[in-house]
Amino acid sequence: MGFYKHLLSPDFTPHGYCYLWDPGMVWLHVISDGLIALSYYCIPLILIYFIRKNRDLPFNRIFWMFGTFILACGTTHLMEIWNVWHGNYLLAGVVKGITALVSVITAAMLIPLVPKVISLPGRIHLQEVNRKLEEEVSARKWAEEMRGHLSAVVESSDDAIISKTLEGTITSWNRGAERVFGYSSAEALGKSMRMLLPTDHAKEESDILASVGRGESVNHFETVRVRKDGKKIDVSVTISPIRNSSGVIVGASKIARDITEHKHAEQALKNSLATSEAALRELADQKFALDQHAIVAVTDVQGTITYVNDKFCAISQYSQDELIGQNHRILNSGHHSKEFFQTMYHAIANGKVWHGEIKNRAKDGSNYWVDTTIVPTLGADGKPRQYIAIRADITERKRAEQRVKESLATSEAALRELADQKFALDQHAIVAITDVQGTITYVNDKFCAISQYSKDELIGQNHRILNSGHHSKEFFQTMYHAIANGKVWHGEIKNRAKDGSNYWVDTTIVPTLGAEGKPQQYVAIRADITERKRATEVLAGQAMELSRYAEELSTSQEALHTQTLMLQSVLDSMAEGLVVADEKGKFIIWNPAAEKIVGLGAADVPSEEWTKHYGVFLPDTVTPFPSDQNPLLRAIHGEVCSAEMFLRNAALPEGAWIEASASPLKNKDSVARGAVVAFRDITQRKADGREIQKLTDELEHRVVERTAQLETANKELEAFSYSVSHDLRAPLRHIGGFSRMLVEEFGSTLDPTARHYLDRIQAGTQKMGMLVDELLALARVGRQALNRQPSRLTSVVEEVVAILQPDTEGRQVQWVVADLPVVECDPVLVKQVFQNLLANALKFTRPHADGNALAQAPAPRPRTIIEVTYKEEDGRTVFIVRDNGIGFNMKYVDKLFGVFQRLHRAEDFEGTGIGLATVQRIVQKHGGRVWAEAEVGKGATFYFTLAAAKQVESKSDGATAGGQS
Amino acid sequence: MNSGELDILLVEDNQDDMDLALHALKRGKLANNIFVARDGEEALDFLFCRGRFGHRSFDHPPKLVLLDLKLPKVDGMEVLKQIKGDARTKTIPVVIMTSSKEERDLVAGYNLGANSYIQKPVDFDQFRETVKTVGLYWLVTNQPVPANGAREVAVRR
Repeated sequence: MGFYKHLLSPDFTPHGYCYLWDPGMVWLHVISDGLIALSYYCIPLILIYFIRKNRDLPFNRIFWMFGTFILACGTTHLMEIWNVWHGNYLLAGVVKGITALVSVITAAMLIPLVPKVISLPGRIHLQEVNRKLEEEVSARKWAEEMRGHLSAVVESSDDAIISKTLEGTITSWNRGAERVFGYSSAEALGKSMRMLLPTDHAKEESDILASVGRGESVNHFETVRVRKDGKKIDVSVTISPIRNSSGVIVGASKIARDITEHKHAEQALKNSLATSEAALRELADQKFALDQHAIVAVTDVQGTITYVNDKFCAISQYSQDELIGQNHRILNSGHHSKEFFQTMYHAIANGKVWHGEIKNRAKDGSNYWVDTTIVPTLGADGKPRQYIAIRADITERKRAEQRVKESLATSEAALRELADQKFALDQHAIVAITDVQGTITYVNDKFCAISQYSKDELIGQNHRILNSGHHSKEFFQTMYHAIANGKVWHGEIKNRAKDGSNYWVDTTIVPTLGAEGKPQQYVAIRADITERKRATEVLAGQAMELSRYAEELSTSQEALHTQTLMLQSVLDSMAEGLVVADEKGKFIIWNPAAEKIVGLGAADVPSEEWTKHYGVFLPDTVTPFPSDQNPLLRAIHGEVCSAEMFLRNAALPEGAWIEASASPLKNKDSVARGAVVAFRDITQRKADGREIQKLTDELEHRVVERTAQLETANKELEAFSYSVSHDLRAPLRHIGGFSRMLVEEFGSTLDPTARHYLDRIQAGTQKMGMLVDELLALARVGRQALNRQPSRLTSVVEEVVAILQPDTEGRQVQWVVADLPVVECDPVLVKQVFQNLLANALKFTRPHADGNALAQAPAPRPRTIIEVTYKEEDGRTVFIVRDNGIGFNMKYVDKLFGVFQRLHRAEDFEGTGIGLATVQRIVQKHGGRVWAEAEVGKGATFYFTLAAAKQVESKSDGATAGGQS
Repeated sequence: MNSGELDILLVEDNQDDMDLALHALKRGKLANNIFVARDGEEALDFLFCRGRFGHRSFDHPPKLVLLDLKLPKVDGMEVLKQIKGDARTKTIPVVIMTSSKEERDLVAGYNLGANSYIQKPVDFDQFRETVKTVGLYWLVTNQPVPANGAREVAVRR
């Protein structure tokens, strides 16, 4: 008693003192212990529930121990809480002791259990076991079923099926056995098989059992047995050994068939043979009837015809004699394949009846169709002995079929064509067909693609399923009205796809009209124009935005102010006069330039007095400008116009010309709000124009005059040169002629001085003749038109060299002529150029007998070299003629090309002084130029070009010649 | 001047030219039967046997006409045109002998049917040579058209 008292009395200091009654510490311990206790109490409760639910759980006891152990642990924690305030440490120690005891026992119980727990099967192992079990069950089931089936078969069999032991004791007896032998299964089971043996067959059973015992089977053994009622029956017996699962023969099965009936039938047949005559007659009657209706033939197994009836002959057109003995192939039309006949022969050779349609060929080669049944007649061995073929003529039917086939083929082709067209259409267009109610009956793939519906979703639906709601009711009404009246409708429709997005299609709906002219269905062919529409919408959107911006801008006060200021400064600074009037003709703007040009400012006068007030006149400068023609007034009335006016008023006594252009002013709603006129003073321009006109007229007049003068001069020149050529030469000839005659006829009587004078006269006339010729040539160059053509200058030079050949006599002259290019020029004139230049070169390289000339030459020139070459310079071809002659002093170079200009004395070198002038004239006529370089005693080089230089070089013409000195 | 055989009709207005030409012909031994017409009209009268020459016959045409172009009254080209334009005279060889060698005169002369065109050389030696060559060619080398089949061609040296 003292112990219990002691046990419950709180003699010790409560644990809270250890925590110094710090509330955080106290409550940490209390709450933690509380939660642990709560959990410990819950766990055994769950365990108990678990054990109760799984009654077959192994190791039941250990679970109970666990429950107790955890409960005890929970209690120790409750004691901890209690002791925070009470200090009942003895009670707590007892609880702890109990807990320790329970835990030790649990642990001790657990140790021997460990190997058992380990050996418990895993989940996968269990599944495998389960599967095997299931397999076994299903195999078992199958066996059961099979047994069921087999016993059903055994039971239902008409044959007696009996099993027996090796001793002959009956172990099973089916219904067939009951029927065949008359014993019920109850009567037969356990009895010996011997009871069925007739006395004369008594030994048979032991023989059978012996052979079965050896594992042999007995097949279709015909014998005799005795029924229960003592009647003997013929049976066919099959006996097989029965083995147990280890293969040991434990008995035999016996199948016995009652063949008494069969035997009787045989007997009956024999009997009927006796009455064969009657039977045959009957058969003949039947055959006759058959012959009347059918085409009959009999062949042997080789196919040789042994019998044909009249109808056969009629259809095949062969006589009986022609057919019998022939192989049936005689009628083969070749229409059927080899396989066809193989199939047929295979069937009938195996004793089966064959039925089919065959195309045969008649004697005249025509074909006929027969519906054919071939019946093999079997011999006693079960093999066909002969074949009886019974046929019916189906040629007409076949023909009809053929016709049908043909027409089908035609329509098929048409259908195929339609299908092709449809295919083509399907590839390109979105096609749908609806009935008159708008129910979709057909859509193609493209339709499905664009609408996002499948065919199944669309077909049977009303077309409204795609309505986007974009179009008005009237729009569809108009469309339906058109197509319902059989008209084709065309338009653009916005439809809604399955996902709610819209798309645009260019749509043509064609109604298909029925016989009475009313639409039966509508075929809609569409093209996707969504992109196009979208682009248009985007554009429209942009336009809207732009106009909004424009509006924003115009409503912006600041912008307006800036603009006004800017406009004002423009108005003030512009040189043109600018006047704005409102719709009533009241001036709103009149800029400084306007005041300066008109001489007057804006006046508040009615528009009909403008002409008078500002002094406006028509271009005739005297008629007052009609008010209704005033550009500003016309612009106020909406016209864009311009006019030339003359102004003369008090401020402008001299008058002024103005050019005015006016346009109406409109607000943004296009309502006329007045007009603007811009004008400028064109007085000076007018004056200038008149002056220019006068000058032009004068110039033209002068040109005409000059041209006429020039033409006259040209004619005169022509006449002059003509008369020079004719008249000037005649006297020369006369002088020369008569002086010559004088020398010839009176020479002997004249003294030497007189003869010398006469020689001088001769020389003079000759030189004069040459001068005249060359002058005329020079004049001709001026007058002649150029005859340009591609010319090979090498040949031109060669011709000239040939002409000059006589002048080289007695001299050593080396001509060096390069391969010159083909150029566009007048070859006759260019030949003259080369002739003059080469003749000069030849002349000025000539050695002199004359002492005077020799004295001037620095050294004798034994060998003459004359070169003709060319070079490309600045895109032009420069021709070069170079000699190693006496040359000339470059200070006289400017005289070189003048007429009658000579750089040498006539005594030294003959010449007229016209040659180089002619050269220059010809070269210039070609648009080229000629120049020369030389040094006294070192030869001269002449250069010329024929085409005009690309750069204008006329001013450097002389400078070039001079600058190269 | 008899009215029989005639070798050359020289048509020349200029006295100097005439003398020089005759001199040259004489040198060439061709001057035996020459008639000189001093203007175009006289030349035509002579050739067409009219006026002063009415007694002449077409049976005896000159074997050669040496024709100057610059002539008084009727100019050389006109004379040429009439000679070559008439069936009776068109077979007579006409050689133009003139100072000019203007292209247009050459072209016009040949177009009208001139048989030859010679520019009188200024050099007298050349002139003489030319005249001699022309005369020899037309009077000796060339075979004229047989006129009426009756006339005999007399060749004199």
